[in-house]
Amino acid sequence: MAPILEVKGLKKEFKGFALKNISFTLERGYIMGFIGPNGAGKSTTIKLIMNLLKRDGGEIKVFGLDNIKHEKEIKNRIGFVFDENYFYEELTVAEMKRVIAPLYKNWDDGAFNRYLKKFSLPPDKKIKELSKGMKMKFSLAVALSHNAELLIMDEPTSGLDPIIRSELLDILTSVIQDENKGVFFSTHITSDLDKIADYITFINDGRIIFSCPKDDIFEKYALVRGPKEILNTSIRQYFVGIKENRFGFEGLVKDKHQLNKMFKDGIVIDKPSLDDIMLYFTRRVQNV
Amino acid sequence: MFNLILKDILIQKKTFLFGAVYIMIIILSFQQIGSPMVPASIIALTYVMTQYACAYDDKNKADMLLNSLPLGRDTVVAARYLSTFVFLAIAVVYYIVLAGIISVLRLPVRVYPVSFEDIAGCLFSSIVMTSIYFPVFFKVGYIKSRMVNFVLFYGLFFVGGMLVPELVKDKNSELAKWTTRLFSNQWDVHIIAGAFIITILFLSASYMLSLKFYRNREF
Repeated sequence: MAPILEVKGLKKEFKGFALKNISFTLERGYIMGFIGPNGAGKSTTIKLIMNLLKRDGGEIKVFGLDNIKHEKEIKNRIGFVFDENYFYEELTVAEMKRVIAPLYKNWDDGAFNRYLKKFSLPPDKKIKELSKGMKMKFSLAVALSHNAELLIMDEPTSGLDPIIRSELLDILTSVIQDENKGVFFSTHITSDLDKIADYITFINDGRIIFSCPKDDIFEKYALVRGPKEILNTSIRQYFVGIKENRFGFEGLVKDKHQLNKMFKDGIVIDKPSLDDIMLYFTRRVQNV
Repeated sequence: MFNLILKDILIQKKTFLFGAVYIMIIILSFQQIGSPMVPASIIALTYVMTQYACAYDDKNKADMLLNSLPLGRDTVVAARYLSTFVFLAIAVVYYIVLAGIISVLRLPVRVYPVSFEDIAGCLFSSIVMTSIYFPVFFKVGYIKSRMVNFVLFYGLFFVGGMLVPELVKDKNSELAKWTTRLFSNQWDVHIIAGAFIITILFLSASYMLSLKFYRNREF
């Protein structure tokens, strides 16, 4: 079976920023976290997948189909959650649903009503009267009510309080119980992904730094602390980035097994968080 | 497509409330001019509703939503054109109802019945107006297209405002004679067919251009 989402050699150029040969694959049954600092190219990549932007090169296949040639069919099977509200603020929840629902082949009114109840969304309330969290829940209710096989979410948790974020993550976990579905989820709040992601794709400055199972990342990468004296030029090259102070250093290495061979003692090796990894990759030039 | 037109109607409930006020203002301000109040009322309300629909889409950044739904860009463009005709029909109904109420209540305000020529004229004017405006709107969006929109609307009223009093004032003027000649021939089948074909061609060309622009837009 074709991957649920496949991006190969994707290119897009703007003035002052470019996506350079973006490639990654998401198989069915998994959640992929798409991480990177602000301005790294996450939203651009998602907009290219949704054909909201025109690609300059490369290939995007969703359900094994080209995202432009089969745009309508693909969008029927995708649930898309935006980073902010794009629904008509003047309409009520029920009116907005009335406009959107008939556009989907597999719209499930029962499911939508269940989500409205679950999220305590009042159908007669205007969208502009909903709080940010409620708007996000409405967006999620729409995305989950037409039997979407792939959920694409652009920063859905940004600006939400921890309770709503946690609820959202629970929902995603339950969605993925169906092994035929997939979730592609961009965020810069990496702690969310620590909890639910199976794969992590990290983008920085328009390039993919890595795209691999989350467990592989923690298997390979390590946070190292030690005295400054052991840092020489040949040692430094094993580090992605190093922070130094008067007392010693802390740095991220790509291959912790190699590190074990080099240093018998005198250093402390810790498991890095995704935040640590993002931080060291983003700031490596300044710190090494 | 029907859903997008429904959306255009739902988002401007307030405009529907004020529609009666707009038409009433035009009826009152056209008391001295006479029957042109009919097309003026209908075109003005059609124009206002079309503009509001575009403005609400812009305010809500609707292109993001619409283009993430299982809809072709051709459907989005076609719905925008079709909604103009729906607005025109609504404006006609509004005028008829208001004029009817004024007549029944015997209010001291002159109103004129809607003729087939009025509707044909409104249809033609609306098609011309939207056919010029929509390609610009789909190319650059609502905010940047406002100047074209301004020139179109006020141009139409300015030209109308200049011509109509001339026609009414001096029925022997060259302009009045020419207009009488034109309108006395108006039911000639050839002229109607010719005007119809030209209008449809103009509308089709405008739609194709709008679609071309919108397909190239990025959001």
